[in-house]
Amino acid sequence: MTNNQKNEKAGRLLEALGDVPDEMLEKASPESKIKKRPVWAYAAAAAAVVAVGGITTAVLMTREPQSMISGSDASADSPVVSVTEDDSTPELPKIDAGINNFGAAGFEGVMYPGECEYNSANLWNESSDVQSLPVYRSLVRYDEEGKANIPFDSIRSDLTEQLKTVAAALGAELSDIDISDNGMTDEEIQKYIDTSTTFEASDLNTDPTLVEADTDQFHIFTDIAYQTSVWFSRGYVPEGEYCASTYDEALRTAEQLKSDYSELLSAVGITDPAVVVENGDYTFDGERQCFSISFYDAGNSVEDSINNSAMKYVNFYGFEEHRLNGINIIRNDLRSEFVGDYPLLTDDEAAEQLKAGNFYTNVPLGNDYKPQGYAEVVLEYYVSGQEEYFVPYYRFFVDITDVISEIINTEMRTYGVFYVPAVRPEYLK
Amino acid sequence: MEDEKIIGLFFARDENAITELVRKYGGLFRKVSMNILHSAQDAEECLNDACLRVWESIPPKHPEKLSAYLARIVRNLALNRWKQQNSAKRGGGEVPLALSELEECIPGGSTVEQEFDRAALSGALNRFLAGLSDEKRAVFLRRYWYLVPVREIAEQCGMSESKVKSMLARTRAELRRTLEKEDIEI
Repeated sequence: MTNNQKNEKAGRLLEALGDVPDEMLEKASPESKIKKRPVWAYAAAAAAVVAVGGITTAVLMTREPQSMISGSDASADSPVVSVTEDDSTPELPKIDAGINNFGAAGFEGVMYPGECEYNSANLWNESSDVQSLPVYRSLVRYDEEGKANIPFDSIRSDLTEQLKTVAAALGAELSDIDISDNGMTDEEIQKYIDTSTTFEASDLNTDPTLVEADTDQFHIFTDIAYQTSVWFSRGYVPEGEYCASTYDEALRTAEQLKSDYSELLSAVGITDPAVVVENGDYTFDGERQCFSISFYDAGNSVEDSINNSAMKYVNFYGFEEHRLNGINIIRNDLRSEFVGDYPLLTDDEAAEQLKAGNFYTNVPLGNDYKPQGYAEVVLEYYVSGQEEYFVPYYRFFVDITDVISEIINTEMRTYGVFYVPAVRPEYLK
Repeated sequence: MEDEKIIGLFFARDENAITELVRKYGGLFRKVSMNILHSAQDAEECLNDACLRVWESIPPKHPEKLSAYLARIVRNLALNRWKQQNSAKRGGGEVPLALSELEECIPGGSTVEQEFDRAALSGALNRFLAGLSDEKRAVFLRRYWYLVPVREIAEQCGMSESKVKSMLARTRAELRRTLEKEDIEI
C-alpha cells in the first residue's frame, strides 16, 4: 500500500468517526466532559431505600486538577480526631488511604437542578451504625503508563479461568473458543516503529493487559483488573425485550435480566442479587441519558451491602432498541487480599475532618478551600487500579455552584466530591 | 441559556439565537476549527458558516443535542475547508498528525480498490467505542474527533503526555484488531 493510499484510508477513518452518537460526543467534549457516577435505587430493598430517578452527573472540566490535599499532612497540622493512649490499638497494620489517582479526566462532581439527590449503591445512611469495615490490599496494580506491578503471566491462568467461567455461563462451548491475549508481537512492534511518525515506540506498553476470545455471539475479555467484559457481536441480538428509557422500565428490565442471567450471576457467586438501577449521564442542561443495571450479592447487613457493592458486581448496559449491548463483571475480590476490619470514624467526625481541610479531592478550588458544610454524605469504597488499598471513605457532596461558576457554564447546581478516609486516623500511615 | 431556549429562538427566527449559540458554544468550536485549520481567521469563518447552517436548518430540524449538532457541522466544514486548502500540500494543524496516527488502525491486506462501506465502518467504530471505558473513549474522541493536541488532552485530563500517548497507541492497536476481526474494509 502506498503512503497516499494509507493516507486516503486514514482520511476515511477520520470521516467515519464523525458518525459517533451524540451521547458519546457530548461526553467526550473537551469543554463539558461528563463522567458517569451512579444514582442507585434498589428494587429488592425498595422499602428500605428511597428510590431515586433523579439527576446525577459528574462534571469533568478542562482545567488541570489541583494537587491533592494530603489528608495525612493536613491532619498533622490540625488533628480533629484525637488519638488517646487508651484507644490506640495498633494491632492492625497502618494503611495508606491516600487517593493518588482519581482515574478520570477533570474533577469529580455531580449536577442537579436543585438539591443534591445522590443516593449510594449501598444501604448506609446517616443513622446507620457501622463500627468497622474490611480493608483490602490490592495485589494487582498498574501504574500511570498501564504497566502492571506483577508479570502478566503470573495471573494469566486466573484471568483465563475467569473468562471461561463467564463464557460458559453465557452458553459458550469452551472447546470452541480460542483464548489469546492483546500483547504485541515482535512483528507488530516493528510495524509500529516503522509506521508511526508521531509517537515513539517507547510510548507503547507492549505487554498484554488482557486475555480475550470470540464466539459467534460475543467478544469477551478479562483484564488485569479482573474485570470481564462481554460485547455482543454485530448481528446477534440477545434474547429478551430490554427497555430502559425510563426508570420504571429499567426496574422491570432489571427483574427480567435477573431471571435471564441467573446462571451468570450464580457463576460469579451472586446468589441473592440486590438489583440496582443506575441512571445514565446527564448533560449540562439536565437531560437524562439511558440507564444501566447492576447486581451484587445483597448479604445480610449494611456492612455487607457496602462491601459487596464495591468488590463484586455485574453490570448490564446499553439498552438501545430493546437490546443489550454488553455486560461487565467486576471482581475486585479476586485481585485483593483481606487486611483486617478497621474501626471507622463516625460521619460527624468525618465532617469535622472535612471542615478542617483533611480530605482528598480533585475539585480545582485551591488548597486553602475548606468546605464548611455539605449537602450529602455516603460511605463507599474507593477502588482503582493504582491505589494499594481498597479503603472505605466518606464521600461528601459539597455545593460549589457559586465558587465554580467561572468554570462551569450551566444553570444547574454543582456538587463537588470530597473524600475523607473512613478508617480512623490512628490506623493510617 | 438552556439549549431548548436557544432552539426556541431559532424557531422564532430571532437573531439572538445566533448570539446565544456563539456565547454558549463559540469558544469550544472556534478551538475545534483552530485545531483543524491552524488559522484564527479560517476558524472564525468556519464558525460563522456553521452558524448560518444552523440558522438555515433549525427549523425544521429540532436537534436533541444542540452542542453535538453544532459540533458535527463545525467539524465537517473545517475538514472540508482543510481538504481544499491542502489538496496540493500537507498543511499544519492537527489533521496531518491525526491521519498519520490513524494509519496504524488500517487493517492489513486491504487495498483502496476494495469496496468501502462507510456504514459498516461507522457501525464497527461505534461498537468499538461503546466498549471502551469512559476515560479511554473520551481521550480517543478528543484526539480524533475534536482533533485536540496530545499535550492539551494531557493537561485537560490531568495525565502525563506519555500516558495519553500510550493510551492512544493501545486503543489504536485494539481498533485495528477489531476492524480486522470484523473484516471491515476501509
